[in-house]
Amino acid sequence: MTGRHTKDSQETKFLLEKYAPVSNTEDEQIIEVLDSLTLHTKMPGQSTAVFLNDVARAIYKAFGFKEVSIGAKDREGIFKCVAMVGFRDEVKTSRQKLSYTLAEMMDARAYPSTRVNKIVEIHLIDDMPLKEGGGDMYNRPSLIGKERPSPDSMVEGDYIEFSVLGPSDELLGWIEMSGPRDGKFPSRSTIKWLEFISTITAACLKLKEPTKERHAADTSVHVET
Amino acid sequence: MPTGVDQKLELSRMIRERYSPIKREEKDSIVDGIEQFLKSAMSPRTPMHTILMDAAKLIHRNFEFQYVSIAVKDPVDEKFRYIVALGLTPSAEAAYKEIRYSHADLFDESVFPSTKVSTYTHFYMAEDAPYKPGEEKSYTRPSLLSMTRANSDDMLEGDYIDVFMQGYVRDITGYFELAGTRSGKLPSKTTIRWMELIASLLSTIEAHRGGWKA
Repeated sequence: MTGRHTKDSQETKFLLEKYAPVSNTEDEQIIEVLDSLTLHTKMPGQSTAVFLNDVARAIYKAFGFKEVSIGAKDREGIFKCVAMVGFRDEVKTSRQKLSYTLAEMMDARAYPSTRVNKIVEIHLIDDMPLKEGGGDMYNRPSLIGKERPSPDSMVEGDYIEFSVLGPSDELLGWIEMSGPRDGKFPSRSTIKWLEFISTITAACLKLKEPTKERHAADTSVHVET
Repeated sequence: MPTGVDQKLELSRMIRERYSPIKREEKDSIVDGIEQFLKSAMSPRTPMHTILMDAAKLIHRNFEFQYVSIAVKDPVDEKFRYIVALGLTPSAEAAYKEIRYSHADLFDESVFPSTKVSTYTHFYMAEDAPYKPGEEKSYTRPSLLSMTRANSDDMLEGDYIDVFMQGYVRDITGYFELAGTRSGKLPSKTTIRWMELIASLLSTIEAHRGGWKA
């Protein structure tokens, strides 16, 4: 086989078919979503809030969670919810009012969970009885307290939290999701992808910081809305 | 259905079993490798050359390519030159690092005929001799350049793949050059998608750091 290939040659056709842009597997589809996220973050002047909204929307669409929220640390070192997808307006308003210090974020007694690894925690409603007025934080508070149909069922009030960690494992923010469309705890593979998204989010947040601030010991993410 | 304490125990057990780190999947080591790469790259203290070398090592270790090199656009003369190369003989690596291409050179189909398989990726087939006279030196085994392709799925010594790093307006800031698979077969589509994601992450790093020299 010698000579130059034309667009009609057998080899050219084979390559175009083998690498056709249609994603055939779940992994390829997710890689495509991540690729799209990183493309948008290159947009000059894109704010942190817009980027985090893109991340929340990507998780909502690609992984089948009905509710996704993302929080980040502001200039004063306080953690606040920055991006939310899938919540009722009233719930959004309630969640936007929340703020936490680093100590509160790390308080395992206030927010008991089953820790999967360094960055993933699963919070079960069974461990966090609903406080008075706490129903404002949920889309369907009337469902809280209903029996769990099976051990692998995720119910109203359960949520999965991913820590967004910087290069020295400092906490930059969190990604929280709940309400899987199939009603079940996600697969191990989904958790792995979401961990990866947390790391990409951390990298983009750090890269978005002005150079001087990135070089300084300050490890906060400055959220401009 | 158990209740109370039994149910909580069962839930905890289910969570631990389902998400056990022992049950590793094929993609896990790739994801772990990229996460480790990003951890280092997000630190402003990591020099760009280290980031490029780490990216080349990440690809060389986790994917099937025997030869991995990365070229970036020099902000001074706007020409692309190879900064890191892995898997090559010292003489081939030295020849690689001598090469300079302008944007026009890079996409000159009369010299480097290619098949564009996606927005980011071009495939160069050995039969098309996609190199300039004298560039045979940059191949590790130039004597094999005239090998014939028995099957369309074969990856020949002279075949190579360029995955381009693009800015937000699709401007090319650099590229990976990948050649020689350990199996002798073309890489899978999933592998190419991973390459494109790593290229995209690298160009994001470049965009936010204000260039390859930063």
